[in-house]
Amino acid sequence: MPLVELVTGATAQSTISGRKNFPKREGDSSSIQRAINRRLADLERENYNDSVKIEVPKAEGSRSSGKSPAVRRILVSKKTLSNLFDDDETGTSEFYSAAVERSRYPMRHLCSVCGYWGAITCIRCGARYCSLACEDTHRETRCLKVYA
Amino acid sequence: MPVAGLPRATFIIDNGAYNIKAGFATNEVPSVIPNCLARGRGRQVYIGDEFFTQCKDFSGVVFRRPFEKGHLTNWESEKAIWDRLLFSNEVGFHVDPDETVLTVTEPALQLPVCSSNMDQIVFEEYGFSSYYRCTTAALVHENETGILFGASGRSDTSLIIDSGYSATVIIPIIENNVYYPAVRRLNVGGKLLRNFLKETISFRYYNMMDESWIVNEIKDQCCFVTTSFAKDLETCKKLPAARNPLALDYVLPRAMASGIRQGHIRDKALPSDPDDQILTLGNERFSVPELLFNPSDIGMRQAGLPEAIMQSISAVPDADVRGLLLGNVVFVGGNTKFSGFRDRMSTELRALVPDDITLRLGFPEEPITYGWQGGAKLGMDRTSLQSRQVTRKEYLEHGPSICMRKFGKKTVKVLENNV
Repeated sequence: MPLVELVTGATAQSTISGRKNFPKREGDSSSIQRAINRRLADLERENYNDSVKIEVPKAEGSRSSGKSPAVRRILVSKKTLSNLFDDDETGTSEFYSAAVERSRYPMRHLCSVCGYWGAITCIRCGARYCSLACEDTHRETRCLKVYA
Repeated sequence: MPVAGLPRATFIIDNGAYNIKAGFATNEVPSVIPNCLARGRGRQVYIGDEFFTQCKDFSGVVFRRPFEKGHLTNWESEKAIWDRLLFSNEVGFHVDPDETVLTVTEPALQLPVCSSNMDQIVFEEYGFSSYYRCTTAALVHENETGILFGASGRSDTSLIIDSGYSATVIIPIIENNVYYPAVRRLNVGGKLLRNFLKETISFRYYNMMDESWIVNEIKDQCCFVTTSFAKDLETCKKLPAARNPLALDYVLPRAMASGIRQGHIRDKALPSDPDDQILTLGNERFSVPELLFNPSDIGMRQAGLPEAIMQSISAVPDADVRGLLLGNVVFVGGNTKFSGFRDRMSTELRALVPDDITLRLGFPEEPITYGWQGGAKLGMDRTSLQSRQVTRKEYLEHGPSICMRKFGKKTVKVLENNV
């Protein structure tokens, strides 16, 4: 998934570059941002194939479980983290308020293909690349596949 | 002299999202076992350490973890792992909960319901005689941290940075209590680094999206933190792999039949084996751990770890306390083991800290077990542990709320007076 820098003011009369009819991004900014978020969520996954279910094996001679109703409820609970966040607003806001904030320094841009400095921005999707060779790879693989 | 009626054994569990470090306080070192269920290609499910002792083929293994984004949400799986840890013959602890004092760690910013669930399982399901729940940072703080700074003893104020699987958390401990208003969480952990490496390798070289375990091994063996990112990036760009001193050939592990489970770095001096499948790594070696210092490289809107440390420090209201914290910084967690991490962190942090403040950074020899070691040390100090723990009798009398009260957030007096 590409690294994207949002260019503001990509309208027909742009004074920034001095050109009129500056070409507009093909993917719009909200779908580009959604793609970034989706990629970051993918990077948080445990397994590539999300629908994998691993059953807990029943051990022979295991100690009796669920001695009290409270414990039985905890053990069979299928609540995921998002369910638990929904249940507890204060806890959730405390958790998120402790997140580290943005850096004071400007971000740097790396080529989404080879990892070198990404000086050139793709006109269509906003991803970065460093050279014509990487541009070719980018066009063939990741460009706009995401925003279809 | 043992007092009649008091339990004798103290068992410490540093319950990490990736590994559990567990053992009796009297053990020299803890047992380190994976905190997950693993399933290999053959549909066989391995619990905890069974993954190392029984799994023959590390390729295509999928994992199920009790933790989700740094919260212990799934007790069905955690109980299976704990049952094996505590009672199985293979692991060999044979814990008798009735006669044991338990110390367990939890993540610093965990949802209260997850902590409460653990309290109930410990007392009502396992029936431990008494129990203390705290953050790993609190146990790290129990060590004689002075040794890390070339001194002795320990301070009652230190800044613990725990960079583990789920995330990197910065925890200021002031007068022996965690100061929650300044705790900060950076969402870069071992899991993100592994997945980023997996995504990069799969895009540039071989598709390894199903090979979480093998890529994790590659990350541990091949990645390092650079002190000069720009220079190394140029080296990798300008020189072809054969002449690039930073490029590395990694021999991927072979299929099941050969019995070779582990990959390794190719020794260029030896002749190459034509059956080997080689993965050549270049700038990935340092651009992956670089995310700890520049999360914005992949578009994350968080500052890097040195700047995040300053964000945490600036949330502490007292200037003297801030100085004390920066004079006692301890780094634990698997991600601090990357070669070059120490130098890079020292350089960047020194640049951000005012020069009238003495900065002392501590890197324990064993960053993964250092928390457990602190727990073992605390476990041997019976009076100290007794004052913090909740006994089964107290739990049965007052219910789970007593745990929430006793293990919950404490006010820090020195800051209260000054405010």
